[in-house]
Formats: sequence, C-alpha cells, structure tokens
Amino acid sequence: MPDQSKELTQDTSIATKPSLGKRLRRLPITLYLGGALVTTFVAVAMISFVWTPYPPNKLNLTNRLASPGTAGFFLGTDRAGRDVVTELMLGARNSLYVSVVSTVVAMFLGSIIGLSIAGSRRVLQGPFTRLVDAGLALPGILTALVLAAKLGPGNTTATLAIITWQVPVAARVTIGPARQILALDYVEAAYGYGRTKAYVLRRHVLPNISPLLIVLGSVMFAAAILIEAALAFLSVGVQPPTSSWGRFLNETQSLLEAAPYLMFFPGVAIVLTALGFNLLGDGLRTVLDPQQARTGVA
Amino acid sequence: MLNLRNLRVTIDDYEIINIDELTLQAGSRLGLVGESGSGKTMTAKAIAGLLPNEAKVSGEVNFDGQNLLTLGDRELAKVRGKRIGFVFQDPARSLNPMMRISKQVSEAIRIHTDLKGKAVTAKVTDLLRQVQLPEPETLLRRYPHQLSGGQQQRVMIAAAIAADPDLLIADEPTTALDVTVQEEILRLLISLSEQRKMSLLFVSHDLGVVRFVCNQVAVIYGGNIVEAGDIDSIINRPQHRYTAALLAANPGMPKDDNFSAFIGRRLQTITGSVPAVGRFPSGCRFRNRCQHASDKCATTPSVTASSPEHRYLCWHPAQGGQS
Repeated sequence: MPDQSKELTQDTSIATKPSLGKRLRRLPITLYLGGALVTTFVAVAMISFVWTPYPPNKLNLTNRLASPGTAGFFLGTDRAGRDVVTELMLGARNSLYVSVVSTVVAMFLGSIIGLSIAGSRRVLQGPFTRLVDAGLALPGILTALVLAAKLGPGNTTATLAIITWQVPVAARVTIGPARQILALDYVEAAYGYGRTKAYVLRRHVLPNISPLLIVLGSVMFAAAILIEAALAFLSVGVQPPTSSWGRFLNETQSLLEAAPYLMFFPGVAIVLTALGFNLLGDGLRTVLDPQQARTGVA
Repeated sequence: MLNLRNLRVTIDDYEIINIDELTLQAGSRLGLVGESGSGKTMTAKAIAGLLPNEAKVSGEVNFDGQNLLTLGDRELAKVRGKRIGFVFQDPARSLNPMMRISKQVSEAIRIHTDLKGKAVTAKVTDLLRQVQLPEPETLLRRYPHQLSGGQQQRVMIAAAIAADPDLLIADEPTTALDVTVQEEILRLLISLSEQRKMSLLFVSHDLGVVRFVCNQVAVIYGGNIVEAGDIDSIINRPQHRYTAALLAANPGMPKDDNFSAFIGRRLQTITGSVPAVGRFPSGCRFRNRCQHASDKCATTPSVTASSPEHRYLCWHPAQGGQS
C-alpha cells in the first residue's frame, strides 16, 4: 500500500500552476543568452537606420587607422578613416537584411516542398525525397560562385545562394515529422469529417510541426549569417560601398601588420551573432520539445 | 441503407477482408465482432474509405444506393462527415492536441453546412450538451489534454454527429476507457441513435458490449463474416463454431449464491491464435482452431440460413442445423 499522504502532495504539485517567476526561472539559460545576443543584434541593426556615430562612409582622412579609444572613435577607424562602430552597425543591418529574407523564403518554400512530399502518394515519396537529398548534396559556396558568375555579385546573389542552400534543408527536416503526423488518428478523423488532404496538411500537420520549424528557423538564421559573411568575404556578396561584416573582415586581411586588432571587430560580431541564434535555437528546442521537457532536461 | 457486396481488401497481395454480403438496415444497430486481427477495423475503414493508400479494394459498398468505392476523393469527402460519421478507438489520439474543442467539433459543420460564426458556436454548444458534457460553454475553449478520457470520447462523438449523419461508425469507442465510463458512453450511443434515427455500425471485440448496444450482430473471423443476424438469435443459438467458442469464453457474471463456483470454473479458451495474414487455411478459415473440424471443412462452406434473420458459414453448426 503506497503512502497516501505522499501521493496527495504529489498531486497538488502537478495541479497547481507554478508562478510566472518560477516558470521563467525554469527556462533554459541558453534561451536567455541566445535571446540577449539576438536582441542586441537586431537592436543594433535597427538603430543603424536612425543613428550611427558618423554618417555611413564618412571618411576621416586625417584619422586613418586610429586605434581604439581615440577621442571620437570608440573602436578606432579603418584604413580609409571610417569609424569602426559605424561600420559594424551598418554591417549588422546588411547581415540582418540578407538573413531575414533568405531564411523566411527558404523556410516557406522548404516546408511547402516537405509537406507536399510527405502528403504525396507513397510511390512518389521515395524518389522525391532522394531529389531533396540531391539538393542537400549541392555544395553551397560553389552554387553561390556560379550564381555570382551569372548574376554578378551582390546582396541578391547572396540571398539567392542562401535560399538554394537552405530550401533542401528545410524540406528534408519537414518530411519525416510531417509523415509521422499524417499517420496519427486525428488526421484520419479529419478525413472522417470530410476534410481533404490539402486542408489536413495546412491545418493539422503544419501547426503540429511548427515547434520544429521555429527551432529550424533560428538555426537556419545562424547559418544564413555565417554564409552571408562568407560570401561577402569572398567578394561574392554585397559590394562597396555598402558595409558588411564579411567584407570588413576581408579588408582587415591586408592590415594584419598595420592594425592586427582590427579583424577581431567584425570577427567577434559574426561569431556572437551566429552563436546567439544557435543558442536561441537550442533553448527553444528544449522548451518546445515536449519529450525533453517531460524528462526534465529543461 | 448500407450494403457490402463481395468486398475484398488486399494489402501487399494478402487478402485482409473478404465479405460476400453484409447489410445494415436504416435505423438499426449492427455490431461487428471479432478478435484482434480479424479485420473488423479494416472493414469499418473500408466503408468510410479511410484505408491506407496501399490497400486495394474491390466489390461494392452501397450506401443509399450509391457505391462509395466508385467515388473520387472529393465526392467521398462529401459523404464522410455529412452522411457517415466516424468515432475512433482512442479519443486521446483522435483529437488534434493543438486545436481547441470548438474547432474540432465544428469541423464537419464548417465543411458540410453554410453555418457561420455564432451559428456554428451555438450548434457546437448544443452538440456538447447532447453528448451530456457539463458546462459546454467553457469546454469550447479547452484543449483536448484538459479533458478526461470519457469527456474526450464524448467530444469525438459530438464531432462525428455534428453534420447529422445517417450512419455512425464507432470503432471500439470504449476500448480505451474505464469500465464505468464505458457504460455511460454506450448508453449515450444508444440514445443518440434512437433519437436521431441514426444507424450505428458498432465495432467491438466484446460480445457482451455488442449485446448491450446492438440489435444485430455480424461475427467476423479472418476477414470473413462467419455468422450474422439477430443479436438474440445468435447469442442464444450460435451456429458457427467460432461464435459458439467466443460465447463460451465469456465468463459472464457470477451469481450471488454460487460465487465460489464461478471463481473455480475454468474458462473455455479457443486454442491457438488468429493466424498471421495470409496464413489462414483454405476452406473454412477457422478450421485449424476448431474442435469440430472435419475433412469437409477444407472446402469453403456455403451460406446457410437457420432463419431469415440468422445466417452462417459452417459445415458443422453448433445447433445441428435448423434451430
């Protein structure tokens, strides 16, 4: 016979909803860290529209390669005498722009493709999935270079390159869980009410895989930022005079002797932002994945 | 109103269901009884066109003079929900965890009627009241996990009858529930079918439950209807050896005065288990587990009628032919 008083206390602990403060404290630290980094990044990019320490591309020819801490230039200036803080803020803006557009488009297309494949006839699923796998196998940088050769370098090229890179990823990740949901009883019940497959995919499958898509989105965001920087670094991405972290990083290469510290600024900005989105994704996964939440990993 | 003829379902070349004939009269309640793996759920799903894609179906499923098997997906969707409602085995899994109760119950209404907005909510509230759920107004806004199993099944039933179907197919609607809740749900199904003059196809493995709910019964084994007819006739005078064995395996209820005799009694069992799909013997499918089987059973038995309301497929009927 189990101890009844103990059972009762257990029951009440489940029944009463913990206070908001308690629930907030229970959220994973990664969520807070990632959230803070991402918020900072977005805030900086937004602020750059209304305020930067200096106007974009303002050259201070008398103050070239000023070291950090020089009066008026918190982080110093680059080879042309542009303020590093201003450059970084404008770079954040470009980075945000490219990654938002590419991630949203890639998620949208990818999940539609994934859902369609999951909902297609069984004989077609295999071939279609392999086709997506083939898309996954495309080397992203190579695709970007080919696109740049065709369209010329620029933000559009970078965005397109990231999209073609990410769409198969989003599709591939969607297929499996969508098929799992499609096999569940409430999907069958929906058919029983007279629903069609397209409706079921939209209204039953999509909401139930949305936690996954949210996490996937944040991770893809991190990847998009890295790729954008990489493409700009390779001069395939955005062109001067628009500022970009990747291009800034590239320029510091030639200054390794004159101002070796300079490369850290765009480098750290890229690392922190990508890290932020990855941490956010990890935190969200812990919160949104009921299996992990139940085992108490959260 | 519902008539199955030569219904054959095969998956990967294995014959899952082979039903020569099965009829459900308008307004009556037919129980479909069989063991696990006998094909009872498959039959129910075949009627509603809910079989998995890989299943091949042939024959006729006549519903009000229309063969449902010839309908395309869109035409079938107009029948499902509107003319035929479906209640599934496990309510917890048949409700979308991310959707409010109001939305799930109103699915069929929004698909099949022109009602909009407040009218839909009113109808849903009324439905929830009809399935005897307390405080329907607050229930509307809940999610499935906030309900008990019995409440969830009531919600499922409300959703299934939302568009006033003429036929309700209930696939083991009480298997996942407590015995006490079970009886309430069964009574609900009976009263709904009587009030609405709605036919009921009740799938179950429990002859006792079927007797409680239905007035007709069809016993299915290995995808064949081995015996069908009036519930009383079949329970009291089972002809097919499988039905007889099923009834003998039911412990019944102990009588107050001889409880010890009830406890001490050995239950009769059916030897072996249902063969895997494709491993059934030729002729009578039950013959490898039947104590009364003879060489004759290797040939497929023909339909015998002991009365107009009682037909069976057996060479060696339990009552020795006419009863």
